Amino acid sequence: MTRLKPHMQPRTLRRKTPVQRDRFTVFAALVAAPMPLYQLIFFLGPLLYVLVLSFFTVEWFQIKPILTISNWTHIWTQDFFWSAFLRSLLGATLTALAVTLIAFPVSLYLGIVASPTRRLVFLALLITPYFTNYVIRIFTWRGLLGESGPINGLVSALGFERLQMVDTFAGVLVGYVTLTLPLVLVLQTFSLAFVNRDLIQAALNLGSNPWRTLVSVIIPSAKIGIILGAAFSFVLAFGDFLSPAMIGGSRPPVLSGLLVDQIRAGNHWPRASVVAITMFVFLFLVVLFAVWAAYPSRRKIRWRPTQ
Amino acid sequence: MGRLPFSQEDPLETDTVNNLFSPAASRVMLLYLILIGIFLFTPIVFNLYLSFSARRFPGFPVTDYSLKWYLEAFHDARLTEALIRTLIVSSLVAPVATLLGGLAAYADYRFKFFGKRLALALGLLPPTIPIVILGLAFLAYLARFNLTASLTGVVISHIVICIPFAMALIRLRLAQMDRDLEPAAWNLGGSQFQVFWAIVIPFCLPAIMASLLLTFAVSFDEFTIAWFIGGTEQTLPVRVLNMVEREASPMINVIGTITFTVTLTLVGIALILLSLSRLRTTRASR
Repeated sequence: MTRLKPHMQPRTLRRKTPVQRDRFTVFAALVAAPMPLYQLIFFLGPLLYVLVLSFFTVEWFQIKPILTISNWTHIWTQDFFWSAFLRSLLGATLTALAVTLIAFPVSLYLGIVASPTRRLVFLALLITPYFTNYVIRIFTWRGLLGESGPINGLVSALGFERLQMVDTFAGVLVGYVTLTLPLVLVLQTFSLAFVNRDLIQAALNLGSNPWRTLVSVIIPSAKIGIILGAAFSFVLAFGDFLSPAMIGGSRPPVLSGLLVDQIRAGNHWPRASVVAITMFVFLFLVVLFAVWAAYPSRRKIRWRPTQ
Repeated sequence: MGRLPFSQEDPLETDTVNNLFSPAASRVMLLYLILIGIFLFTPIVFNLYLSFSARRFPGFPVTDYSLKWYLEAFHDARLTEALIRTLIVSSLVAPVATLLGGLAAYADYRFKFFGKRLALALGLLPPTIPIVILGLAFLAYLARFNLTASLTGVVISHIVICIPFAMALIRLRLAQMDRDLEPAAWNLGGSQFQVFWAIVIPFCLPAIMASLLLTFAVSFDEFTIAWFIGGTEQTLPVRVLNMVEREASPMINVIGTITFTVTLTLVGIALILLSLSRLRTTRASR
């Protein structure tokens, strides 16, 4: 429907329109203000406070507002901090890669091959585990992967030696995959469902085989969901402390485990803040990079010929 | 909502492409999907199975079935207290988060204002920050206002992480609303508030209900923040975390099974509400 510009509308109609679409009134302010206000106080506030806290001094277990950079120099010069950082980085990178590859065939089926009804039903089923208590899922995985668990029972019944899976890095990865797979499935499936059907048919009509169509039409079109999915799973795995603690046995710790220990035992919040901010800034850069990689740059769009 | 990663089309309605892969290849993919489904459901099914074992340290396979640990769990005072605390927290968090998120979604849909992108970012950013970092931030910040070691602190923090879910759900529903509906009502003399109350809210009701259920489920399952801030006021997930760390009690399997059933029901109802409302809207527009 084409809408007349205000000056073209008949005078009577114009006067009878009491409210313009985007006019900002008291009502609008009442609607728009509460959420940002709440998040400003209880979300941005705490984050900024942690930044300030990282420069505070601890004297006799008391936090004093005396500014110092000693927390930063203390944490940043510890070898265990950087080795924990590297372990988190490795775990998160492997998880992002593995989950992206594991999820893709499923998402391809759901987003392109399956009928809309099947898509809805299967997707709903696959994400239900995401809404069940993660503590309990990880606890159960520990039992499943354990020395006397059913998986090792099967392995030894087949005549192989029992595998050490608990307290290993591989076991931790199983936990990370459990945590992040449902979310990646959703993001990938949605972006694949949005791939322009005409493009796929055009490629097929021009004689492209399924593999070629997949690589040069479908994957580039679904790039945003694939990259954002990988980035999300990276962030989630990087921040998870439960899988390393329960399946991995916490030794040696990852960065998030270090943070939890600092908060619980050390009560040295300024140092914990240093760890938190380092993680935060690093993950922010990762997400920024992912967004840059996922969305085509403005310059490219400007040079595209008009249609 | 700024630049969503996807277009405005409905991702659950786009056509299938049935000439891309051969039927055999499609069947292989379906088989693989089922395998992944089994992987995701393994801990949940195993949990359910072990919950019926009578032994203190349930082994595999279960030989002696009983409901013993279910009875134990129901009579455990610390567990029932924790459950009541969780229910209190979740039933406070869900309406407040839905109200705040819903208003913000409507503001995004209807108005242009200075700093809109920033305001929306404030609402949507929490899920991109690891929960341990948020936990520390909430703990340190709320400690200054003496709100730690209390359920009040847990409620305040849970609202922050639940707002994005409410915002997203209600914004998606608003996107399905006819853009001319409200101007039409204004032309007929309705005030902004009247139109909001009589037209927008009823239209969004399914999404509002879904948001209530989903934010309830998110808060019901959250353990990191509740653990840091709640102190001795343990919610159910925190109690479970303690049991897992110290006692490895078989009651964990029972709780797992029960919470799974509860969350599954909540999320299931939310999904049904959303798909029913979508069905109605697509039918009406045809």
